[in-house]
Amino acid sequence: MKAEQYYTDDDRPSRESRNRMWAVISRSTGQSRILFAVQDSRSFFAGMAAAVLLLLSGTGIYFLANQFVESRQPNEVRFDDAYRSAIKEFEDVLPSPVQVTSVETNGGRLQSRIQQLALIDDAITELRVGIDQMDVSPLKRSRLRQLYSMKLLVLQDIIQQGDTEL
Amino acid sequence: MRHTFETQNFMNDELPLIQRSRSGDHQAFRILYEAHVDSLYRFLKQFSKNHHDVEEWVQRTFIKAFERLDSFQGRSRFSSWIFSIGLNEMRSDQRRTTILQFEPVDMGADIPLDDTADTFQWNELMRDWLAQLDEVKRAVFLLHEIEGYSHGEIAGMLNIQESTSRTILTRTKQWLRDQWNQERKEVG
Repeated sequence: MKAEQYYTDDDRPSRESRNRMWAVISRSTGQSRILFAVQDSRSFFAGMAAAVLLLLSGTGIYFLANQFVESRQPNEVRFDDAYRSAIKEFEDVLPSPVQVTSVETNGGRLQSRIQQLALIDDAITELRVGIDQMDVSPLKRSRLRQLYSMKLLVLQDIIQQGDTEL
Repeated sequence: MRHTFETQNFMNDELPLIQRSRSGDHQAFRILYEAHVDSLYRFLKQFSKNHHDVEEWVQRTFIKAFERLDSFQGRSRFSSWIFSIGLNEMRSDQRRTTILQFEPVDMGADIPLDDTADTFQWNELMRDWLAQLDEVKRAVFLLHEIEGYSHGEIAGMLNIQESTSRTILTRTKQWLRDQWNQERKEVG
């Protein structure tokens, strides 16, 4: 049976009824969805901005705190740090000892330099075990500085002799 | 209306409007409303003699549909989705107001299904008898026989099994026909 045959005129909504229903629907839905979308995007951007600000301030606080701690250290400790930093820079640009030892060396000179470095490293490690970061005992500090200086010289020599390819 | 081709075309036509409505385009939703309001209204009108009740159900249906547009997957016809919301609104109101001005009619669940139910012939007298049935039986009959929905779609709308929908329809037709036969006997 067709719907047109079954339903009577009384079953159909009048034009007024349709408009009245739409007015209610429109009022209930019109603003809410748009408002929700706007609020949604606002929350998203606010969240993003807050995250960026938090990251920037976190980084800033970290650097400030680091600078503060460093400035409070005794000169002796800062001097050691400078040495270690220089050594680290050298070591970073040189191939690791394992790679170097596998390469054909110039008359065994490089091999001997690597052995020297290993001995200096052992001595530094041994000395640092008994020395606190803030320990400024002149004798220990002086010995440590000599070892650092020696290690730097050995590294410098390796680079200057062209024993390894950088 | 029960055919896949028509369903597919119908959905293709409406999908852009649904997409636009999702992003808050009120004009697009107005077009969807105009396309479905008459069929939903006349269907729901079969469950109440009061125009205000029906208007209320229709309004709530479209408001809920708008709010839940994101959950419409497009796997069914938009009209069947709207009808299922409308049915829920009507049924929850009916339950709240205790319902049914009519006692549900026992159609004899133990009576074997009549294979000749397909030869069913509609008669205007049946309209009143149909009104005596409970809302689910009435809904199944109207949705299948008048609105042209498949049993699969009806099952989705009423949250019942497809086979249950078939059984309800067959029994309803059988019951209407029995009523008709009895009426003829009495007149004759």
